[in-house]
Amino acid sequence: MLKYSRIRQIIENNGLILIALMMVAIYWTFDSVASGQNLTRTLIAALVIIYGIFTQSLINSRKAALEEKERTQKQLIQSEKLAALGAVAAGVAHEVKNPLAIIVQGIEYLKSSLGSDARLMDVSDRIEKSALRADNIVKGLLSYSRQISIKMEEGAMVPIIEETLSFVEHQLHLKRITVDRQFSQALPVIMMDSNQMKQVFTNLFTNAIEAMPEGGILGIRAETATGEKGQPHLRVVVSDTGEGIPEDIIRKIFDPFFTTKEEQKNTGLGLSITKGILDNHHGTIEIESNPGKGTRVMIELPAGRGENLAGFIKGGQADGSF
Amino acid sequence: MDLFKTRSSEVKKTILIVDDEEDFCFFVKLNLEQTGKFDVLTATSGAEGIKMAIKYQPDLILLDIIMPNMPGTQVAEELLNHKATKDIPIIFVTAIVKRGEVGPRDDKIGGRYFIFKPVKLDELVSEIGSRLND
Repeated sequence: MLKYSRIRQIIENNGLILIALMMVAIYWTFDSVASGQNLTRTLIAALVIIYGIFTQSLINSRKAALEEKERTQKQLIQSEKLAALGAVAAGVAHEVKNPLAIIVQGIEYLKSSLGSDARLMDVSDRIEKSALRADNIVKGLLSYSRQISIKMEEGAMVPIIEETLSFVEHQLHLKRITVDRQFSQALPVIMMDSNQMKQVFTNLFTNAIEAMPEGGILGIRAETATGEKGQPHLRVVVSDTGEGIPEDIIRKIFDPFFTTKEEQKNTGLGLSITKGILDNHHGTIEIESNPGKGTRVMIELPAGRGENLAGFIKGGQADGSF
Repeated sequence: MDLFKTRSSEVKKTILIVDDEEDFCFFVKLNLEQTGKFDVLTATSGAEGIKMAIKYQPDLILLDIIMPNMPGTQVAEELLNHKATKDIPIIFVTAIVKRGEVGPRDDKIGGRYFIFKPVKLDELVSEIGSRLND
C-alpha cells in the first residue's frame, strides 16, 4: 500500500501530466457526445499530454537544480565555518602557549630551588603536569586547524596500536573490558605521523571504552584491503560491544564540538580531529552502529612507500622541521 | 635591555634570547644560568636583539618568531647578512610554527632549528648543546 507521503511525492512530480490526462479525459467525453471527429480528437489529446509532460519535466529539472544549489551553499557555509574555526584555534593556541611556556619555565626554576621539600616538590609537579595538559589541549585544537607540525615517516601500524592500548590499559582493566586482537600477517607499512596516529587510536579506544561502562569486548582488527583504484590499503576496524549510537547522532558525529558526554570532560572535537588527521593522511573513516549491540569504526589508509605518497608528504615535511 | 654576565664567562657560553615575552626571557635566563654552563643576555624586540647580537657576539641565539614590528625570520635574515653575526647559530623558539611564518626565503635563514613552546629545561639545554657542537 502506498503511503501518503509517497502519493504526495508522485503528485508533486507528475502533477501537470495528471492534469493533462484529466483534461484529455474530460475533453474526450464531451467531444465524443457532440461529434465523431476521431483524428482531430486524438491529435488535440496528444498535444495536451505532450505539453503536460514537457512542462512537468522542466519544473522537475528546475527543482533539482535548486536543491543542488542549496546543498552546495550549505557545504560552502560549513567549510567556511571550519576554516574560521581553524584560524581562531591557531590564534588562541599561540596566545595560550606563550603563558604556558612561562609557567613551565617558572616551575622548572622553583623545582631547582626547592631542595628536598617533598610536599612543595609534589605541588610543583602537579602544576607542571597541568600546564603540560593544557598544552596538549591546545595541540588538539591545532591538530583540528591542521596547522600543527607533522612529521611523516614510514612505519608499521601494529606497534602504534599496541602503544596506544597501553595508554588506556588502566581504563580497560577498571571496566573489565577484554581486548580481541586480530592482526593479519605481513601488513603493509604506512607513511604517517606516528603521534597523530596515536591520537586517532586514543580517540577511538576512549570512545569504545566509554560505550562499555559495564564491560565488554574491544575488538581491533588490522588487515590488508584494496582501494578504489586497486591500490593496497591498510584497514583497521575498532569495534565495541557497547550501547551503540542512534542514527540521528551518527550523522553529527564528525561535527566539531558535537558531544554526548559530560561537557566539562569533553571538547567534542575528538572524532572531528580524528577525521582531520585521517584526511591529512589521505585516509578514510566510517562508522556503523547497531544500538544496543555495539559500534564498528573502520579506518583505511593508503599503503606503500614514498613513491605512492610523494604528493602529500611534500606538504608536511620539507626539511624535517615541520 | 637586560645585561647580566657571570664572572666566569670565559668558560661559559653566551646565549642571547630574543623574545617579546619578557617573563619567558626572565625564566629561561634564570634556568640556563642556574645550570652553570651559560651566561644569558635577553632582548624583547627584534631590533634590540640585532643590536645586542652585533655588540656582544653571543655563541648562540634563541629567537622567537612571532614578534611585533620585526618577526624572528627577519631578524635571522639580518643577522645572516651581517658579517659580525652571520656565523652565530640560531634556534627558533616559537609557540607556533607554520610554513608561512618562516617565509618563502627560509633557505636564506641560517640555523632553522626549532623548539616549540612550552619547552622543558633539559630539552632546551640538550638542543643548545647540540647546536653549539655542530
